[in-house]
Amino acid sequence: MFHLDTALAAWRRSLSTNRTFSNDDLDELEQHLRDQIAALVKNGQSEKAAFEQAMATMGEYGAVEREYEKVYWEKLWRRGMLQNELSWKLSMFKNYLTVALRNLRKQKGYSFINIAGLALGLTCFILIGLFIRFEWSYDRFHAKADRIYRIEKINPGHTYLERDHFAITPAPLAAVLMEEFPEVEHAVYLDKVNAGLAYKDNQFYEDGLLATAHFFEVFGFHLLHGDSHTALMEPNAIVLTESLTQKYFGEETALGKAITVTYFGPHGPDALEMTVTGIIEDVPPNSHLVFDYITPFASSAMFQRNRDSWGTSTSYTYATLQAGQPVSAFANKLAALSQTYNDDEDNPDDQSYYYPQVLTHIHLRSNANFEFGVNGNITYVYLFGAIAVLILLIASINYVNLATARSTTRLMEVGVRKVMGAHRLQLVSQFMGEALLSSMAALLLALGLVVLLLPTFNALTARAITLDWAQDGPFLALLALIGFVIGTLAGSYPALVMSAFQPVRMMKKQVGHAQGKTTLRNVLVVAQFSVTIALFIGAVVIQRQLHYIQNASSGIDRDHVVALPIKDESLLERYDAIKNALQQHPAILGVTASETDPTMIDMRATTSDWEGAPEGQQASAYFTPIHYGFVDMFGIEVVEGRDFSEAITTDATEGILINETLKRQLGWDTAIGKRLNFYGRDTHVIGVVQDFTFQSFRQELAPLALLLAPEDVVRILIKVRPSNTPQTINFIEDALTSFSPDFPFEYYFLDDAYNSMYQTELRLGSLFNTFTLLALIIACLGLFGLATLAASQRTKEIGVRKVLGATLTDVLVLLSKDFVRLVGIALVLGMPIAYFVMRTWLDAFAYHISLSWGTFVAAGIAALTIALLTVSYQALKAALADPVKSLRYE
Amino acid sequence: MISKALVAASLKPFILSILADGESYGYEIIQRVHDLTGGQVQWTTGTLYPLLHSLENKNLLESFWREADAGPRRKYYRLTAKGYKALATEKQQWLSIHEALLKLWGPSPTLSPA
Repeated sequence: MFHLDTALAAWRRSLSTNRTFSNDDLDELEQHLRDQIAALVKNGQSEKAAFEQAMATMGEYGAVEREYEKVYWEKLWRRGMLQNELSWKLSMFKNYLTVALRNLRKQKGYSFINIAGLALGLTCFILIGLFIRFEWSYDRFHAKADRIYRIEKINPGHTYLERDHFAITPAPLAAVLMEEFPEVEHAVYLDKVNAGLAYKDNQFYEDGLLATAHFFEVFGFHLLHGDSHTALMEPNAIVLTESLTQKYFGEETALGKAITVTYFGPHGPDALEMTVTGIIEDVPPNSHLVFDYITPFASSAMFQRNRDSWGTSTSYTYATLQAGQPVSAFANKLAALSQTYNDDEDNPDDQSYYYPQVLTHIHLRSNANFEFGVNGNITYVYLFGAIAVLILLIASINYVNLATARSTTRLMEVGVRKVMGAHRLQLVSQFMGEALLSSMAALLLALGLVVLLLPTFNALTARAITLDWAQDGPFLALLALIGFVIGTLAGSYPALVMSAFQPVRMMKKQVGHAQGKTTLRNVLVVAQFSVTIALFIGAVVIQRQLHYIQNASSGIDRDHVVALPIKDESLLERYDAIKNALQQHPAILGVTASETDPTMIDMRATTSDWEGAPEGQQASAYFTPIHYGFVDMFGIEVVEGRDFSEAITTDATEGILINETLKRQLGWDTAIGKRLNFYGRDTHVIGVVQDFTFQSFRQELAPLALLLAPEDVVRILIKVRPSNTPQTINFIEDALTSFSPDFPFEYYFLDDAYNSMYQTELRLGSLFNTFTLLALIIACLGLFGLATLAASQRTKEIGVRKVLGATLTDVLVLLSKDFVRLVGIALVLGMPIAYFVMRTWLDAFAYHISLSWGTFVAAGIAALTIALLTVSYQALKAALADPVKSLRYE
Repeated sequence: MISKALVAASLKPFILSILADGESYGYEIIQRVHDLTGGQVQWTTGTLYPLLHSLENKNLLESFWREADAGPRRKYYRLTAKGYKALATEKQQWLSIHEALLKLWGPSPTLSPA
């Protein structure tokens, strides 16, 4: 039966929650409807039909609200109620905030897991983001960065350390580029130099640059004092960095002052008075050229060797192209240049050519021989970029998963709100607001952590990364956007889905356990754990490989060896006396000397003259001149013949030791006594040593010859006892200083030098470990949260089961089963990914561990165990709970 | 039927003109327009009242409640001085358009071409 009054009341109620309708408005509208209906009824219509027609003339659905909304603000303004309205909005906002904070506080565990997990993920993301940005920024600070090129030499087929790119070029190249290439604006030739600088009492060795005059035309290093055009014109000029100036001159004005520079060359030191002609800003940390001062090549005669030779490449050539000149045309012209200028008579059909390398690509993309310093690696930038995204993904999944899972515990609240007349929009903003509040809190926490961790991170990566609030606006905006997106994603499920439920069903808890959503959550957990497991396996493999590199039997005992570079040539004449003096100390186990570090022998010579050499065949071998005792001190095994002996004088002029690979290359069955012309000597093999690693583990074992040449050694090598090393070093310093008082004492450990070859890998290893650990923690936090929730949702079920006789184990299995299954699936997905990625990485090493299934099984068991432990805490708690308590409520 | 746009444009002059005859309320205004146009102009309730409120906000109208002898109170509207001025402007605008159209159509326009 239709009741007009009931129908009108219902209609009124539907509008009454809308604040744009005042009571007066509704009275007015209602009266209108009543008039209209009365008129229609008078014309013979039924009340119901009249009501429906009146409703129809009201306008389209929603149009009335919109029309009223339009005049609403005008009305408020006119009636001076704007303030009221705003304070209402504010108090509603305060209410949202209060509820949000109350929820955060009420569910401390969840809130902590949620915020901490996301904060950790964001921290990793930000740190890696900063790292990538820093790597990317290398050399971009030069004003002409996009048109500066380093000229490289490519020598196809002539590999050295397995690469045919060379960063160094002949000295005359820069001048020819300036003269014969109109498209070249300026070209500069430069090299590294280490010299002793002295001013008054300050005396140190410093790393600097030798450069030709156009240095400042090419590079954008900023001169604070002095004239960039003339600073390097005079041969006795020196330009210092700001901090070096501070170190030597303190508060004094340095410009125009004289400073003593001592170069050390093969023919003795060359001490010169130089005049400070300029002071530049310190070299930025993101410069591949690292130096503290610049002097001209012309400053000393010792740098004039090979200045006109096209046959020897010794230093670096950089050129700027005129703006707008295409590099392709320049590259083509440059490639033809080596045919014009080739005075290498030994090698008339030289195939080598020059190639312009973009300055901004040097740090990340160049891996030539004789790079200026240790470069970065684009692969690692990509790798870490991927890790950053993955970790953020894991953290976001957690966040979204937990937020949606948790929302089901709030069915009652939402139901009550809806009954009390809450609008859908209000519910959406409540949930969204809460999610955004915690994601922003996580972001702030993450930024705090980043500031705190940046120094450690810099130490780990050997970079000088900074986060500058003022200048990093776009980066911070990006972060805010990420936080916003994650918050929105996490908030949107409860906001949109829950607000659509019917209040009655919500309060009866008839909704919220739908199947579809659990599936989504499971998929997310699997994705998360697949990634974590892949990272975990990656970390294990990287660790094992690094351990292998550092500890694998390399055939040479390089531990606890102190190396002293000899700058004072007079020391060589007194070598025996020094050796005797050093050996007096009980902690010194051996003394020898060589030209290159035995861990990185990179000099190579070629010969075609050996006993039984086939016509026209050449053999090349790496070599180093050594002193007596070398083979013995480094524990290198002599497999055939004998070591050099002081008793046999001919060893020093015609003896040679070769390794097994060289013996094979020369085609000998037995080597002893065989003739070999090498290093300008006609030698006879006196012994064959077992192959040992004398270069990076990335390189295959190569042929090697050891020659006795005491006059050519440049470093003393001392084996010391592992204990009390500082005291031993002090003793060595005293001894050396007594022989050579004018030269500062300098030393390094051989294994440090060796490890520095793997700097990038070692850093990669520790970074990878850290990030994997964090990913694991974040993933476990998420799992823990989900387990807590599952346990709490099934409290009653567990209670019933226990009452019916379920044992502790039954309950544990019940609660863990699902999670173990998910982690199991994740294992199956994560392992192949890890396998392929790690195989590719390992293939870059000539010597690497094999990827055994043991690693994978171990990683799998570890992942499962960790997941189980995480889940079992909650499961155990639920299983041990008194069933009476869980069944009592309701 | 008259097009929606024209109906919308005519709302304001209708309201002002009807209220110039004396105070009235929403339902009555709709009825008068209905009668005046022979049912050609139909206003929806949802557009009339917001416009009344808007005109009131602009001080062209003022409203007051009047208790009815029988039944609930009713909200009446009447023109303010500003409202009369606005009506004069409206009138002038409509007439000038009307005159211009008349010039085009001739002194005694027919509804359909012959």
